[in-house]
Amino acid sequence: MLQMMADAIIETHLNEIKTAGFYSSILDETSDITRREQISFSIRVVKDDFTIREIFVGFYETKDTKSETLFKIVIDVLNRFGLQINKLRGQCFDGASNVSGGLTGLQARIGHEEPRALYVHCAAHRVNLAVQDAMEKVFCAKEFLGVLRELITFVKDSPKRLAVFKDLQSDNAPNLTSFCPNRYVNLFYKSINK
Amino acid sequence: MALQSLDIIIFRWCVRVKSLKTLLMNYQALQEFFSCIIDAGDSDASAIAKARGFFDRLEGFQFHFLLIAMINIFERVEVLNTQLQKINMHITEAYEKIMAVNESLKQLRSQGFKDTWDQAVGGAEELGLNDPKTPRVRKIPKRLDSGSPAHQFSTAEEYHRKMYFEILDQVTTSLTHRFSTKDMKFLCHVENFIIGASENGSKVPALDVASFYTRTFEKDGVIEQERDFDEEQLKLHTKMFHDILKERNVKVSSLMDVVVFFDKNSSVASLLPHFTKLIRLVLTVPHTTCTAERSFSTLRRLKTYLRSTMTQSRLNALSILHIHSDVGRVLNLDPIIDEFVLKNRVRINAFALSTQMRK
Repeated sequence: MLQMMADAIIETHLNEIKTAGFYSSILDETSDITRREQISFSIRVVKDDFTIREIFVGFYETKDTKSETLFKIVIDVLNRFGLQINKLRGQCFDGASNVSGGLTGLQARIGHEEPRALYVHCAAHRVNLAVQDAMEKVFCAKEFLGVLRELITFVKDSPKRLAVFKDLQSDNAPNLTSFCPNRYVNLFYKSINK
Repeated sequence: MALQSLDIIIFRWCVRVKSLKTLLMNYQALQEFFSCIIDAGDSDASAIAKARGFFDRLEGFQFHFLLIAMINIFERVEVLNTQLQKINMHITEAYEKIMAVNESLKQLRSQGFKDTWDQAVGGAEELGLNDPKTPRVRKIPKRLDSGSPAHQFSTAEEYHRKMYFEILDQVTTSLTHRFSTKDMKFLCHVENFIIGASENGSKVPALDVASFYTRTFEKDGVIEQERDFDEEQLKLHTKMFHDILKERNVKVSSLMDVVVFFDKNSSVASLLPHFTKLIRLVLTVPHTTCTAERSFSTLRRLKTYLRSTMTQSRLNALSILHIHSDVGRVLNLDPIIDEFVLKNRVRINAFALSTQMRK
């Protein structure tokens, strides 16, 4: 039942993609709660009136994240939806070497099939990496951030310490938030404006 | 159908500046907290040692100064991050925004030190921290000493200024470095072509663009070409577009301006199919993987600790229904229900009546 409903939704989106003609793919991986690798596949299209749509089409489970396997998945997905690879005009991944590698990375493999699919390294990831790089290179900044992280964990780690700290806090001061420079997983909530 | 507008709440990347700010607001409480732990003496030795280390850090001026400097930097970067996560943006626009933030960081480098310093000094006085200090001069071992005296900072302000500049310089250079890649250069090239701007004194030739979008491949020993654009046509349409702009006295300085112009003058857009095709192609190139990351939050909501054994196809169906819930809500369910009932004999027996009635 769910499957049928989902199919109907995908059907409407596929029509949109096909009328737009050209599309590009967006891919990223994560591991889910059962420690399985999940790949998320989205497609970006531009309609005739220049409005941009990014459409999520599905999760795909994979055993490993070698570029070869990923490439097979991409081809498989495109085939399943009846999209031709020669209409692919862009690809965007995070900066991991298995996808961004210039010789056998996923982008190179797709680029071999369709050289017009321009590869773009996710801009948000890049900004983050740039700042992170800078912080790593300056010793005092690196040290500062390290101490900071430890300090916050120290307070938040034990419920007892946190309780002591809460007592000392002034009334309207906000809680401490953990600092995590190394996790550049950007998570978003998508909510609908009512 | 009601259009779905996305209100994107950024979850993780913006936590950094928030984290720094909460620390600043809780500075005094933290100081008290650590001295409490040291005085109480009932926790284990390593915790006390740690607390003492943290306490000393908090007392020092440098920690406070860096905290304020970092807040200044991260605030600017995070403005950028929020912007980059929008779907409705294209890559050259993103690039411009990044460069703008980079410029503001450069400005911060040349002008902002005084403010940061004053703020840090003021804050430190209020909190009763130690005075700013220059680093202790280290004595160099004789075998390494070349005889020249080591550099010494005359004032603490100078020492901190060096630190401040070093951080900002690193951030700006690595930002520039990370974004001067091949794809970026090509896209800027194309944008210049579209808006008719000159590059190194001459206009971008149509051939550059057309040849990128031509694919040559060998099939049965014959070399074939697949073209997205006919060079002559593209040239003509672009020329026409620029002439129309000149005639109407409209100036465009970026791709976005062109899109806005076409929005108002849709007849011009349909007049120049090759030109609009190029624009659509450039807009098609994605700039972030945010949609993918967003789908992972959905994944985390659907596949939870208590619900972790569902099959991949079920997970997929659920996540599509969840993400595209705007379409799902207006979906016509009758044919789907019918199909569901007809799949199985038992279901037909049980539900046939209702299906009949509906028909």
